[in-house]
Amino acid sequence: MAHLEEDIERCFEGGWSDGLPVVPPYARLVDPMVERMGWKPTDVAGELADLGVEVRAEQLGAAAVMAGCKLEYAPVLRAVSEALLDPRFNLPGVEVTTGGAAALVIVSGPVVERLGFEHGANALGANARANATVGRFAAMVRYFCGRMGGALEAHGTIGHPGRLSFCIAEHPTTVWGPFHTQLGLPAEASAVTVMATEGPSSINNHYGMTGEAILETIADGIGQLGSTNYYWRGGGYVIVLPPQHMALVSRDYTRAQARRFLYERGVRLTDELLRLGRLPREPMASAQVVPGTLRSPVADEADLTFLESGKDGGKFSAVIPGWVANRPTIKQVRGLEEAR
Amino acid sequence: MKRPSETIASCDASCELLISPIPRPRVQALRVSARPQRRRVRFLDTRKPNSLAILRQAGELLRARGIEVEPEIRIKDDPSRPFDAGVLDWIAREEGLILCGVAD
Repeated sequence: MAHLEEDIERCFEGGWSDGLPVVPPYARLVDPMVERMGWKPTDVAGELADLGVEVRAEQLGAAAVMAGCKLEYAPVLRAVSEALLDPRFNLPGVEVTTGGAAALVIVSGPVVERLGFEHGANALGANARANATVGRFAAMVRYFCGRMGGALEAHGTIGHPGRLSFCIAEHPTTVWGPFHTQLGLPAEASAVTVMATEGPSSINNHYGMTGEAILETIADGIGQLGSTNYYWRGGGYVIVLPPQHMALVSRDYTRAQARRFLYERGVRLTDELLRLGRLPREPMASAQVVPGTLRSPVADEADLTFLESGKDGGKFSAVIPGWVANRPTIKQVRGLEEAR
Repeated sequence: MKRPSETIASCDASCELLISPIPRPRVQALRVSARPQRRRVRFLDTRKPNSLAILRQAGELLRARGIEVEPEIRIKDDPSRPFDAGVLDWIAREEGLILCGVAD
């Protein structure tokens, strides 16, 4: 036991930590994890071409062990790894941006119940091993692999707590259909969606009794003056709907109708954005800044996605802004049959 | 800035090596010139907020001091990703001083 404590300290001292104590990545723990993830240790799991970095499977296995993940999470971790290393995710950019973005992992489909993800109480910050460790694994991969071996520095101005762990599971039974059906996967699939995001904003509405009232409140959260996406319009938003808000909204709107409502109502006057310095005086032509018009922080309403999660009882939704230079990357979770 | 250790050994009698979670880059060494060969300044904008305005003002100040400043400011395609090979090659071939700006 003494050497375990000392090895934990060695990891701290050696910079092999996200700021929290880690499970030391002993080979006897890492090797079975890598095998369960479907790799050999020296396999190249992915490449960060911008950094001249190859990520080997054993490095991902080490991060999984250090994060405290169970072996049975391996199929999910494999899918998360593939998503993080997909060029569309832009992992190095996520690590160093002044925007302080975190890697959000959304888990949806039968895998949620299969592996014990919490999708009810405090869904956005659940004290459940699956949520906490899978989220931490994604954050560690971002941190360990996105810095070019330590040559790069992060420049996040304020960041947010999701930089340590940010994993949300969707209810296994949904009203509008699973989250991943919005990104092209079939309803019966299990999936992980990884996207770089800012922190969540709580949207409180306890007295509204119509879907319109709830959506109007959410639209205000999307269109708030400080939304980073007003200029670049690249990140999109995830809207988290708990059961009681979902009951009101779905009574009056389909998912497509709700999306259209938010796209049209979550806007500001371009002139106001210019006056207050939310847009530059000399915008790029590609930003399509047109004075005298209303401006949405999303370029396409398809960039607004809905996630059904959270506990019954309170009436709080959440708006999670996506980071401007990143696209949601979705991967199907395979190999669950061997997860037990 | 302290870099993470490349290896860590467990402290028991077996001196077991821990598996590193940190990939290292495979890049060729760069040769850096300490002095420009030509007394000329060129600007490279990273497309961060306000950087272009800052570089333009810097150019005006330098010209007022008699420094040759290339009028064209080269602009990075994507502010969220590193410079591509073409830009790095341009930087490498430049004989003067390149000023790159700036953070937000």
